[in-house]
Amino acid sequence: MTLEYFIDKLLNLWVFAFIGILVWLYFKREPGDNEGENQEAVEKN
Amino acid sequence: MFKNPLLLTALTLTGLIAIWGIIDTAGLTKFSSSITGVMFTSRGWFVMLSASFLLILGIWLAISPYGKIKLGKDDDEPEFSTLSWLTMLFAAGMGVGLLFWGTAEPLSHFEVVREYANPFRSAEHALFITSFHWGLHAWAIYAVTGLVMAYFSFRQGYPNLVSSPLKAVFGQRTWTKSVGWLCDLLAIYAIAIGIGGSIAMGVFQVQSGVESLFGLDNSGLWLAGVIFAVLCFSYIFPLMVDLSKGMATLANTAMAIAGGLMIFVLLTGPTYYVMSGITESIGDYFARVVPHGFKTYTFFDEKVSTWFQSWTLTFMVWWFAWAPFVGVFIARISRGRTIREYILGVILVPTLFSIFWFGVFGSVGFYEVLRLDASILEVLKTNINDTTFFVLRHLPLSTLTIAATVLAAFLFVVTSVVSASFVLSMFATGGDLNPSTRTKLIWGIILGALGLVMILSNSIDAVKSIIALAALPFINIVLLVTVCLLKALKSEVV
Repeated sequence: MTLEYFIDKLLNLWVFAFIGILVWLYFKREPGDNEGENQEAVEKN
Repeated sequence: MFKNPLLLTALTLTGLIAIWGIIDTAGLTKFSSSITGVMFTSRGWFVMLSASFLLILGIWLAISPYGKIKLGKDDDEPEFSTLSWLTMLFAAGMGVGLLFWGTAEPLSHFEVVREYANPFRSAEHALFITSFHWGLHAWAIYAVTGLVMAYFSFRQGYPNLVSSPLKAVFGQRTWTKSVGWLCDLLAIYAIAIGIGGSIAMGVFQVQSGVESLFGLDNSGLWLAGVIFAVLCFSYIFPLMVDLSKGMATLANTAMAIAGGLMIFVLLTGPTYYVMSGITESIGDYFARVVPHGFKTYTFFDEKVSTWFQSWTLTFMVWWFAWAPFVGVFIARISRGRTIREYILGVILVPTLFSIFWFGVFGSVGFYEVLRLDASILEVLKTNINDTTFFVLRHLPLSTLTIAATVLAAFLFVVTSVVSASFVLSMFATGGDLNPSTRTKLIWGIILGALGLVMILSNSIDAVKSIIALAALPFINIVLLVTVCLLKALKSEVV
């Protein structure tokens, strides 16, 4: 039972970490990330 | 070919699984069942959440301004007419599963649900659950995976690989290269095992049809072996010569037979009962589909939990396993369409067809159970592969319809193996659109061996758990490449 709980915790922690990484990757700034927004702003001006 | 580490690793990995399965089928089945059991208990919520997230994301993309973006250059036009595009979509995504599960699945749910509700409510719920498994969520998984592939290959010019979005968005870095490599490997692995399962399901279906046609009783593995040999012989030739147009014709023929069969059953069966069942199923489905996508049956007993794992979760991961294969295919035929058109076509139309299909075959099954005698439930318990044929035997021209079903199942499997060998070879050779005949043949043999493993297991439940084992890691990859798409879309001017 204890081993089962331990494995369950590990598997779920892995999922939480993975979701965290996805969110971080989404918001992480990359070179050229704002090209679209910048171009839109230029077009509006 | 042997200088390509990805190809070598993929061939070794899938080859080892095949050898293990052939030597010790029971051992592999036990191993995969225990691992998937643990994973499903711990991560069932994540599987459901991921499928629902992809559905909501797909709908949002379709209605958002991003929906106007073309999958291709801005002046690209669609290659296929909308009707043939929709037909090809459906044939690729469901294939032999439709023929196999048409009546068997709603009745299997009915058997469980009726222990908790009255038979009439149970039939309604069973039909809803079946439509849920084959509906919006399944197609959203396919649609978003295909969308990622189409966007990065046709709009941004990257190779048609699962790893391309990572390299496109985060650049050629050490981590993108290694994670990308792993993504391609897991995609190959998931496709290979998924197609192996499809071969086994097709062989079980054809075997049952042949037994029904020739009055054979419980032919055992020898007939399955003969059918498997004929199947291998049938797909080896198309792998050696380019028959892409011929394959499309065969897939469309199989789909036409399946469509004709559905109309035949509707017209020769209890039509009013079937049409009423479909109408009810449509209403029930659209009223409950979104909340049900978040349902995990946490507060029910062990029996319901097991049922949920072996059906809903298995189906969901099954769609994830097929997603890279179907995604590549959907992407290839969708060039020139807008994201809105693509999402609506890929998610909505096949879902409506699925509701109709299971409405027809499920309602005919329920008519047998609730209005006539319940002998079909015995068939379900003793030989699930025979359920569709049991229904057909009770309708006119049964010899013809059973032969047509056998032919359609056979064609679905042959076309799936040929297309999968091409996609696997393409993935394993860095996106080469013309992989060598030798590479395709090797994949054809590996797929055949994996199919043989699952046939030897002689159990559809074993097939389901082996597929689930291969598919589970791929859920993470689909989510990862989806984030890449969302990041890339931020740079689009809409």
